[in-house]
Amino acid sequence: MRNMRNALLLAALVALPVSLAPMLATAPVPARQSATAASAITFDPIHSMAIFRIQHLGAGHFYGRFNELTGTATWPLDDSAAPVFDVTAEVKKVDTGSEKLDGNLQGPNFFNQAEFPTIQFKSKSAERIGERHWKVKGDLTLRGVTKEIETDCTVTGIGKGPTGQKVGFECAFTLMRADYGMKWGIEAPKGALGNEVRMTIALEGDVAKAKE
Amino acid sequence: MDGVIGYIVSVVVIPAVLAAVVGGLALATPLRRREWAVGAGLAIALPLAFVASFVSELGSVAMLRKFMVVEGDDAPFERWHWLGIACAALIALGFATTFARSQVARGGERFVDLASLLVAAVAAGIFVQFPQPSIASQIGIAGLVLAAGSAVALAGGALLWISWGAFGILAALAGIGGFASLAVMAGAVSMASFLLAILAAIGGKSIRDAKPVESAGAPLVVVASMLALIARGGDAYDQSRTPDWIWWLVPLVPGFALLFMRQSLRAPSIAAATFWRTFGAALVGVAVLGAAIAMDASGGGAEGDDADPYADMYGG
Repeated sequence: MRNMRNALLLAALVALPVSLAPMLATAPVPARQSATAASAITFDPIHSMAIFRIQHLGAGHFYGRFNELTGTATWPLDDSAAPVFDVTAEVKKVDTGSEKLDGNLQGPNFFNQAEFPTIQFKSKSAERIGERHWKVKGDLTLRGVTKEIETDCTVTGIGKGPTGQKVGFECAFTLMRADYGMKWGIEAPKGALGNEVRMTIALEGDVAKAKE
Repeated sequence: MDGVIGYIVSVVVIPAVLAAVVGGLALATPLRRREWAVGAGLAIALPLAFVASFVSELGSVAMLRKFMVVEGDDAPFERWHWLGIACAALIALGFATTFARSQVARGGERFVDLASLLVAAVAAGIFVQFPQPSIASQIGIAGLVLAAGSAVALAGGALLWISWGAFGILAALAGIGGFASLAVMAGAVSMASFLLAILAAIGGKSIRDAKPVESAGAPLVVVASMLALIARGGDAYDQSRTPDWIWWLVPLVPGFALLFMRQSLRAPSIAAATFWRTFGAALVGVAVLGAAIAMDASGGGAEGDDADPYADMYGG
């Protein structure tokens, strides 16, 4: 009888966290709430970039990138809270492998670099999806239009470099470029370039050293 | 290819034909006997081609958002959209110039033209601001309008033929510079100039006592202002290696009608005189365009994609 009671107690102890886990996993977390102190992370532009994908002439997928992203994140290395991002891409750093195409993308029909030189993302809140895996909501400002987007972010690793500790993130989201006033080539000329743009953001940053 | 043809028809051909129909009422009907009608017709038609192309490309909201909040529109006003507003304003200024000319005593028309050009230059200098505006850049815009006015005044009866070429060069430069929208809008004005030049020639032959098309009054102010503003706008957003001086030179191209002025003045017919003036401007225009193409090609950019029908519009 005692064995039976012990077995039920053990089962209950095992079942409790398992049954609570999904609730904990999906509970929204305010962006800046942290159980332990969040580390300040400054992105290393050389190892931080954004890759975009867009359909060309209704056929192939065309890829390009924005080099040298800058910005910061705060995130407790024990993953006890969500990362908070503030990332900036400079339009003049667009790189498609074709100098002429880069120029055209910087022109008024697309990013209009002369008037809107930067693209910025600032996170507002996040929801845990899994271990080191977050759904981050924030404001994306592109061509002077700010809209809330949701991006799927993963902590890709925590490593060590000659200058100290490094953290990598990868975030992905999809946007409709027409929402940001970038309409050329969607309806006129019809189908020249797609409306849907898939973005992958790869970030690597240096963790600020704790003050002694 | 249907997409390309449909696009060109909607943003170039239809605006140009619309402008030709409006201008044609003054150039190829009995209205041609009235000087004011010729002036007003051209002053409406040429900016109308640009405005119609602008609206077809971007919608009227692109201009309206400068003055009012448009429901459901959260995009900011872009500075180059001043070009659409400026061309719409030039229609009104063209009307006012034509009316003022009809009210002054003979000989006073030149003062009206000068006053109208000054109004256009000052208004452009104050309002039409492209990225990184400064006092110097705004004085530059106003100065270019005035300089273009002096140049266009030399085009004489070749105004529309030279306008065809000059706006065509601006369209080509904008295309080289990766600014497809401006390329098609300038292209619409160029095509409208061509159609109007044909109509002006037909009307001049077939209508008794037809008034000639001259580079004076409202057409002068409108063509000079549009050339100057489109050139400055194209330069401000240019992503190619085209140097600033090429953009600045294009609005002055009509002035090179002077090159063969002697032949023009001694020409046995109006058609021959028109030819010589056009020829002078065309020589310089072709040289300017050739220089721009050569400079862009010498930059070592990546190879274009010949299989892409939109390659010239956004590279590739």
